[in-house]
Amino acid sequence: MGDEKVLKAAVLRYLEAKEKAEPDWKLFLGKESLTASQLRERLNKDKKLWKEIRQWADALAVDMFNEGSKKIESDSGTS
Amino acid sequence: MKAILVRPNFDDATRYTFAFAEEILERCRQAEIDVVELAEGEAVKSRVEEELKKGADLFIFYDHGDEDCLVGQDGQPVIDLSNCNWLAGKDVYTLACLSAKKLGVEVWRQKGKYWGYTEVVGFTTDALPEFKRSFNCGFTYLFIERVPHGTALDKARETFDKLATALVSEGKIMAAIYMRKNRESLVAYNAEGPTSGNGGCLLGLLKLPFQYVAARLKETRLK
Repeated sequence: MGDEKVLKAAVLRYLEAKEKAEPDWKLFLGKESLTASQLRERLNKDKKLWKEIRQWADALAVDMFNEGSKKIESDSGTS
Repeated sequence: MKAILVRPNFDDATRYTFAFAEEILERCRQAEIDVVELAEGEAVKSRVEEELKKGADLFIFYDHGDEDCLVGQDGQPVIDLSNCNWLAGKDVYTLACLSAKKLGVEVWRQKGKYWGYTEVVGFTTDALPEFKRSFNCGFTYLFIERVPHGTALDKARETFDKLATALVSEGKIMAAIYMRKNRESLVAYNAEGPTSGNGGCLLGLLKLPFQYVAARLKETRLK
């Protein structure tokens, strides 16, 4: 699962950058709110939350490729 | 059309959702919907039931929820499975977490229409205008443009997708991730029954009378 480690490292790096750039940044999950620093800590312990973020990051990546395909098709008139 | 808008305001998250609902009030006025607002201290079960008793076509709730309830200013349910008969035959529009899972199904069983979320709803403070737009867009499609629930849901999902893509390009990646997640758990249970594409297919299975399923199982065992 090397790729998962790479993704997690990237997410943690992103949150570190976010914390520096926007110290007041928060993620609200229902009644719970997490700062970038708290979210980083949670992601190191909370497998369920990590799985959720990974799942939707994957979904976003798929969406981007699908959008890219649509754009190529429409630009070349092959849709 | 008469609407009741309930918006508690008692913690960090509700401070934001309370503000998101301001636009819904404006939209109601724009559409000449007669709206009764139950905000903060008035967003409690007794007041909600009192107003529902007077009659309404549309119930709007902007705050926390759980699988089987919508939570009021006092932390107690304003609507749960024991009093959701008040919403029978009505349109319900909410951004509450999880409530479409059980409460929405029950309202739908009682010929109501339910716009809501089956999972915990997430949002981030770096994309508040985008999240407000995503939470409120369905209201515009349903009650301003007056499109059917299935069409409104398709349009809303498209809006969520566009917002998520735009957020990625702005470097707001966690916002994009939760925009994408919210999109997936958004459902519109239509009183006219589940149809493909409106998020109602699985709920259609749940609507099957339990007795019928049990009888079929018994038949299978007897065979």
